[in-house]
Amino acid sequence: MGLKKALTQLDDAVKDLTSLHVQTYSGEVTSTIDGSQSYDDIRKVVQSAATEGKITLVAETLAQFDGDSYNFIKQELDDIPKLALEVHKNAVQSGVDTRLGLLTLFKDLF
Amino acid sequence: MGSENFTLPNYNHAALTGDKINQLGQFDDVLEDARLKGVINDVPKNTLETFDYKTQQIRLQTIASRLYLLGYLKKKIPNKKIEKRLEEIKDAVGEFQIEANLKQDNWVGNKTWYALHELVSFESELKKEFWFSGSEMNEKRKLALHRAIQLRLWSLGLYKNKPNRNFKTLETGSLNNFRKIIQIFLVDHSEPIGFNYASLSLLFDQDLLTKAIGKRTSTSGESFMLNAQGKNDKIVLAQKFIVNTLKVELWLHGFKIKIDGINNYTIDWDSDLYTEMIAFYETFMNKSKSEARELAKKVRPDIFLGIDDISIPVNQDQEEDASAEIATEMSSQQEIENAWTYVKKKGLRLWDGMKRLWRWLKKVGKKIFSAIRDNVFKGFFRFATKAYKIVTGGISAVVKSIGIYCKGQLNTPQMHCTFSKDMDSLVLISSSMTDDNGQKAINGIQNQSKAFSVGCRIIAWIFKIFKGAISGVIGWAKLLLTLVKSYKELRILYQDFKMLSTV
Repeated sequence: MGLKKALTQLDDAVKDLTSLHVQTYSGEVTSTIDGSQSYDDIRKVVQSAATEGKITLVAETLAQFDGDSYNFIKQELDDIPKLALEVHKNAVQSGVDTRLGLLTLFKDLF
Repeated sequence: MGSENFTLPNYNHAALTGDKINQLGQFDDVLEDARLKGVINDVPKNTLETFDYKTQQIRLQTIASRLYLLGYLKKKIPNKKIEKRLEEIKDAVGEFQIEANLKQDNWVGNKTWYALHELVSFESELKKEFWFSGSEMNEKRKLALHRAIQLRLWSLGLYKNKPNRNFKTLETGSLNNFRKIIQIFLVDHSEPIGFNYASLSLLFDQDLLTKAIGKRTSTSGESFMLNAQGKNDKIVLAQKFIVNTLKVELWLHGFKIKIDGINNYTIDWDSDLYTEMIAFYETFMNKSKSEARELAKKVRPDIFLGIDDISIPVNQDQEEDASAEIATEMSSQQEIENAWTYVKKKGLRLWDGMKRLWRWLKKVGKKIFSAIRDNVFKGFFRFATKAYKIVTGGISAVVKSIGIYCKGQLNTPQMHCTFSKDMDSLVLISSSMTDDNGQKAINGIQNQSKAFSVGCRIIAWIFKIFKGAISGVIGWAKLLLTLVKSYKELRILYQDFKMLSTV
């Protein structure tokens, strides 16, 4: 795939990059997730598993680039993997990096 | 220089138009076309590409030269005959790969390319972990390394011939002349001279050998103080070594000198050596024509002292980056056409001389450029090639990352990361995730976004320069100049890329 096709695909998919939402769960629903499901399908599986208590929300970050932001971190961390918060932090940073990358690509060009 | 046969290929791309994505797409097409037309020789992705003459001509010339020097090819193949003798070169690559214990696929990717480079270049180091097992030679790579040893000894006047098709592993006695040189020039060595890492590090360290000669200056400074007085054969050997080391240095400095292992210590005033020594004294040592003529009548220690004077260790990162100065020097259409012509006609052979070019540039400034034009041409093409590699690497990273975002999932052991269309993410980790898998998850997430982010910065930088006004150059010349101009910054961004692979 060439650069133009890739950027066009991205352009078609992305509707709004003005906010960033990252949720990190810990639990055992991995067997019900495969590569064929969409983000919305997986979200439903995860929400349902969370309601049933099969998985736990470890951390959540919602950053609006107009300034508002929201952070949640589970208080009891004893029963979650040691690196769970690190994974979450990196997922947030990854979202920021991606947005900055796109900004650099298009900001400097024209 | 006749440029009639080697002008840059036709450039059939219109000015970039349309929206942002279209313009980036058109620029990507220009880069790909540069590869297809052989304007830039990118690292081939497989064996087939390695021997695609149209896109790989310059690399093939270099590969053939190196294989000939190491004796894998019977005769030197003239550049114009390379296309017809690709099978022969391919077989020689295979033979080299066997002797260097590389995968025998005839593909000259980075591994084979750099293995050849290290063996033949005067400015490269032998990678210890590749060629040696501890302090001894790696048995499985011994044959290839022995060829390089013979080549180096011959270049320095310490062996009767360069390796050839009938090459056999060297005997210990092959190092006798080198052993004597080490004694005569009082070179410090930690181990007895033999086929070990310590000894071969000395033999392959051109700076050290030049320095050793410079240090043997008599009190008057007029002649060499060789500790072999009265032993005629040793004196002759020392002189042969001195003059051949000088030839290597002059060659590295871009002068038209043949490295031939011959003893012409007594300078023939009609020789190329005499002419080029005069040019060296004038250009690098600031002598008048008449002074230079006088000095060049014999081989003197001061020429080695002058060369050694610039070999102060420089930070490796800085060492090769004369790109900005070269870009300024090569900023006209004609100069770039000349560089292209030179490279196509002569090949790049060893890609050597860049360290010396950089050192002199720092010492005496850009005035040296006019005297060693060939090295400037080599440098121009080399920086363009390196920049191209970084840019295409950046584009691949962005395309790959977009593929992952569009697929919507990034999975590592015990972690699923799902992306929404707006690049939000939902991360699900197993409650029994091990620390090791946790680290893999972190690395996976970091690599994905950082590769994308660095890739975007690389593309943005090169595109900005390409779009900007570069007066006086058009077509492929403009692309080449853009690449060289961008190299300094791209190189910094490339460090981020390299770090990703080690996370």
